[in-house]
Amino acid sequence: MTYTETIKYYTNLIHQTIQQSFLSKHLNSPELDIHKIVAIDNLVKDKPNQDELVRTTMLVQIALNTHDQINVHFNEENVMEQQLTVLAGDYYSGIYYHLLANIENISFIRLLADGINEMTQAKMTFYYSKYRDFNHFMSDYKEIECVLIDKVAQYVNKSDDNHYLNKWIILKRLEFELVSLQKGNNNFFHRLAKENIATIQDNQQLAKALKEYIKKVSHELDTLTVNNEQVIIPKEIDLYQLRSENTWNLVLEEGLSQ
Amino acid sequence: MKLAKTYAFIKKDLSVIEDALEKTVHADQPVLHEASIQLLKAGGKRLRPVFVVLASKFGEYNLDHIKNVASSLELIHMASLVHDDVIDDSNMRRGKPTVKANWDNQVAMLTGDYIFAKALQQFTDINKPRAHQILAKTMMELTVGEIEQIKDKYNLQQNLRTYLRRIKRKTALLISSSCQLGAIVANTDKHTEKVLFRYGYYMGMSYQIIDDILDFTASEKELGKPAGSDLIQGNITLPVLYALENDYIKKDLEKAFENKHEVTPERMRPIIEQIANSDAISQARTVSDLYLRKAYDSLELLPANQAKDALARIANYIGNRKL
Repeated sequence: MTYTETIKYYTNLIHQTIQQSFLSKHLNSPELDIHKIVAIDNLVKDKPNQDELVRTTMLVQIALNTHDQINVHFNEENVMEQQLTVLAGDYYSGIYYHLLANIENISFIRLLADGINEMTQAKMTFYYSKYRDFNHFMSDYKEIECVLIDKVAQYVNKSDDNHYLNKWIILKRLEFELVSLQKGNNNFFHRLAKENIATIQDNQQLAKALKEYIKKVSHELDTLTVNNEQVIIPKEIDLYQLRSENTWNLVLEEGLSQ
Repeated sequence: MKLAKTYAFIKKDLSVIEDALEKTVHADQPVLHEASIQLLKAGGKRLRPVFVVLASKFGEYNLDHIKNVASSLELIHMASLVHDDVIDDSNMRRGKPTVKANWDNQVAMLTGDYIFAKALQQFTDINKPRAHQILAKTMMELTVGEIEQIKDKYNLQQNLRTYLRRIKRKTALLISSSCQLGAIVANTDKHTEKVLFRYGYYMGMSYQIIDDILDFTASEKELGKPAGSDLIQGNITLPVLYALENDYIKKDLEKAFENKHEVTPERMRPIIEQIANSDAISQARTVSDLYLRKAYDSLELLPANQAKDALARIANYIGNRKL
């Protein structure tokens, strides 16, 4: 499958899995971290129950992302949507457990529970810390972004060569955040960065910091490649359309299919 | 009689479970640790651990395994409560400030997720796939029950069946699963497991109906929130369903619910008083008693032992509880 097909396949699978009539009626479909679909798929390729490993890890990610959307205090205007957002996160977590229990994969249930545990602790520290610059902010953020991928790598005994993949994930996350910022969105990551980093107060400063950091990680990935570390997924793959849409399609069609 | 006296003979084992709970929720992150400990210390009846322990007494009793199951179930219950308080915007529970009140919604969400993860970590020590399938299904149903509750808010057209299905998901299944999982972890025979599941289910149904009655009949001081809070939030419980058979109450309620934003404690007080003084309360109690009867009947199918006597005493306590 090409990367596009992989993303489409798992996106459909996940959306079918989380379908719940009342939630679907009142809430938007959760946004999927498609770079993580690509990364997890890469790690578990050809393993038994490959689909379940990707699907359940992504469900945990979606559940935790969904709960991040809950405001510090409820907004009076859309109380029901916020109430359902709490339950949607719980529902997605429940499905992850249900699916893995049905295929009797207790060890993976445990690993993902370990991941939730570590991620909630890391998030709690992260949300309530003040950072002097974007680099310090990112050094804590990396942990949150990569926890679940590390757990999957651990499951398939690939923890030792997970270095490239973790950097790749950070690169794709930041590309996503930059594109999203340029489109005028003000998401959770953007708000957190502006509220908690002393040197960043507005979108312009954030965009500049993101670009610089993307350059830095990109360079680090090049160094890993030069040093003959295995290139698991090409860094140029443009999942979030940082380039124009036409270029993106061209890249995928011409050279980067697996 | 106090509830704890009904099962005094397992007091030592419950205290081992209580220690396990405290150890399990330990977090390195200070806010998360404090919030989790606050939740734990807020008390509660620890009904689910009690049912796990008593059910296990009908099989091979191994406290190490039982401790894991019992504390996991209590943690899942706690995680759902901390998220419920966000949903209901509740600042007080059992007369104490909630996590969302002491910190904020975000801390409450993370605390709930953290406790849920701890519960699963603990439960994965039990290497019995069927136990995981039962618990997973219960958790899914629990959430669907909560979603259904929001869906049915302010809906006066719902019927008894809708209500019973909702409380089954919301409350009864976690109690029946506590009994069933206690039986499974103690390797009881299938018949005993099934009987204990049924006992738990009937107890859970009765327990929730009594809770819904107390919401009208207990005082604000006893409840730690205004009487009729469920109705003020739009939840149609069994006493309300019966009260709707009275045309006057039905009209008043329909009028009050015309504009949800105007459903305030002051606006609802006269309706709540009407319901509290109506036959609806005794009718609801009759349904609760029917479930209790079924719980006692289930117990008849179990061999005589101390646990069976305790389960009967708990049924008696729950049937007569004031709060």
